Amino acid sequence: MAYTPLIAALVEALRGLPGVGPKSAQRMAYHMLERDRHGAQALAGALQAAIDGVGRCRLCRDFSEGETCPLCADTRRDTTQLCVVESPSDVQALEQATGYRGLYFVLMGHLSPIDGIGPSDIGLDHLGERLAQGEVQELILATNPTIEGEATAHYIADMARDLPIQLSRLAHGVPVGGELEYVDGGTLAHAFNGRRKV
Amino acid sequence: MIEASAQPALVLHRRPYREGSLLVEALTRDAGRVGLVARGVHRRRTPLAGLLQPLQPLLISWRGRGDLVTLHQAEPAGPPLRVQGEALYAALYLNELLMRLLQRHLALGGLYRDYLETLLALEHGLPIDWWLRRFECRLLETLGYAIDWRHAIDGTPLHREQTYRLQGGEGLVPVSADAEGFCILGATLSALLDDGPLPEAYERTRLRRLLAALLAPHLGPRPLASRELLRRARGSAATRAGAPNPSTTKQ
Repeated sequence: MAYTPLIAALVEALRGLPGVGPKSAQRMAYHMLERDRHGAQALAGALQAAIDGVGRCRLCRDFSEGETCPLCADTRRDTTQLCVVESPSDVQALEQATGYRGLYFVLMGHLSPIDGIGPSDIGLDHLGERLAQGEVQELILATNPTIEGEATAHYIADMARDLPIQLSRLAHGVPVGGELEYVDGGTLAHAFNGRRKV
Repeated sequence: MIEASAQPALVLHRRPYREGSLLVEALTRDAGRVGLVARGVHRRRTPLAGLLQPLQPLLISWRGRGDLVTLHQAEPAGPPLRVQGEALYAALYLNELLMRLLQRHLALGGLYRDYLETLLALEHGLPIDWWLRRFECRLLETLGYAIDWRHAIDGTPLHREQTYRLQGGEGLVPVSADAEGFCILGATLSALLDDGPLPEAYERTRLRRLLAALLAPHLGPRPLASRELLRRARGSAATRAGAPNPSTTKQ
């Protein structure tokens, strides 16, 4: 199929998005050009504005339009609690699901030696400085329950060991409303080992 | 067409691949390192994403042609190995080492067993560094990069009390006890090969450097990132064991 050069470039650019194959990219491109040029204009504008305007929060490394993100700037949040997560979508998930009122620190990844990602690549030097300032009293390690997430949590725990900070790690467990029979073995083993007194 | 069914395997690494798939690198018992595409791992009711993790003994089936094969089935071959804390860094080191040194689809004798045995030692809290050295030694032998561990270059058997130096990556030569270079006591090598008693820390450090020197030419110029984690763990262990840290003494 021969596209004109501009359409080819558009289709190629759309294919770079997650979940978009050649067929979907073509459909999107034709849709915008045939029926929705205004929408396309708006999309182009929004993209450009986001790329120019969205940076990283100075405090938590989450995406932010100002120097600090609205969450870190919110004076009603408890600044003595800090929750470490791997990605911005983890912040959203925790905000929606829990009543947590403290602050976050977003690593934007996890320690992954095979991929060449070390402590400074995920802002751990920055986190170390923040912990040393002394305002944080409780650190909640909410990295993913993968081997890299566990190694990252261990590394951070080691950093905070000599500081007067209370450390906790998210529990692993059986999904609410789930049945033991259908839970995978790894989760069940974690849940069993992490059982608590009633 | 390559096919295998219910093959014992452990995942070395995984990363997202296209939408909803994973590219999994695994060490298998009979086929060596295998690159597998696992489709639809995040769909509900398929616990595959949770299962396809390092430290989870698996039985996997695959089919396909070429370098990458398609994962057909995976089931647990037992509970996940509970490797924690500093031993986790060691497990990451083993995986990075294997990813760096192994070609895909190259059968490797007893390497899978050695790897599993090392992970079990880490799970049971046995001395981390010693078991890593043991594995490095076995890995060098499996890949055909090892030197003669029981004889000096001139063919004479090693003596326990004698110090030996690594000569140009080819073999060991007897030297005086205070010689420079990658040196080691005969007794330390003997303990490593024959599961003897744990040598003292100084000898274990010398052994680490000697094995690192033997591995270096095969690893290329890029340093192993997980060695940095292990080094840091050694550093903080030394701080805890040695002089009290000024930041902890003030309370």
